[in-house]
Amino acid sequence: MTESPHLTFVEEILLLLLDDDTGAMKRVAPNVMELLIAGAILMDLALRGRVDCDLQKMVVVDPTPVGEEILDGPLAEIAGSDDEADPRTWVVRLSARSKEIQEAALKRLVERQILRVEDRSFLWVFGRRRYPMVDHREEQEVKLRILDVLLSDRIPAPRDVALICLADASNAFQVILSPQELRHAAARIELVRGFDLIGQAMSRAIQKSVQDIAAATATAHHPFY
Amino acid sequence: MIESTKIGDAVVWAPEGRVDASSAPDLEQAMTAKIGEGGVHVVLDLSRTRYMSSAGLRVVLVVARALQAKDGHFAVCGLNDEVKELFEVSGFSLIVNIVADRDAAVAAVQQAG
Repeated sequence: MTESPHLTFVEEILLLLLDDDTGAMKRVAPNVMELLIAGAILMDLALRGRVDCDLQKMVVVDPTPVGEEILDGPLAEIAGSDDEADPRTWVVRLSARSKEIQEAALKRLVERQILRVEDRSFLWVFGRRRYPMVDHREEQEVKLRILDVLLSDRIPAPRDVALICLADASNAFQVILSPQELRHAAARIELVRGFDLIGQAMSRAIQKSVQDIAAATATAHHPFY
Repeated sequence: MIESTKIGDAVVWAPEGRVDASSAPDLEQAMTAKIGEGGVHVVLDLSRTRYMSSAGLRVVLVVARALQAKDGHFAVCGLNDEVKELFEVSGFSLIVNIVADRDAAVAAVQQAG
């Protein structure tokens, strides 16, 4: 039985990225995943009234811990910083914590009995941990919220805007929507994801990271150019 | 305390100074409460607002959403250059009716209703 208030955005996006049946994580490039998790943390802190931002800077407006392990570490880090960096810089900085945050969020979903943990040996060499879903209601609720926003003209709630930003950045729409629905919703996704300044900053950080990796790969393939 | 003015059917809100995480919750609460009471012709006059943050934008989103659900009408006016840039960058200018001044905003929500 799940009886939490809201899941954190990190938990919600992990549910979207887990295969319902096998519990395996959908493949997201490691650098993208790190930035995605950092963006999710900042969006949560913003909606819980702990941080605020504009186009130039992000500030802590209330350093009181939220009571969620995965949010309170990053909040303390931002509060302890003596510079006023912009939202994209904070997405990049917090991405260094993504591995520990992801592990903590998965552990929390197991504690809440939404997931169960299953260790499998893969070719007798690599251990592979999977998280099959025990309770699909949370995941279904997240998917329904997304579909409700994308397939209507209704103005979305701030929480749903954040979720759309995260789902878009992780390519989760390709799992949730059919190709036809995705084409139909493309303009709507483009519009809604702009509503959140942190979501915009996260998308820019991901875009830059992907471009940097592509450029590095091209250089490696053509070292004399 | 956030003041509102009634002009005909329209309720005009004119926050002063900063609309950020410190002031946004009170503004949101006051505006949505009024909408809940039936005030569905709403103007947000930002001519005395010199700064708006992401938290302020969320108030605009929540109010626009609440009014849409009640078939209400919403106009925003008096944006300075910085706030205007914020509305444009975030795409809010595509979902909210932005007009030059209070008279035009009041006329817009009353004509629409």
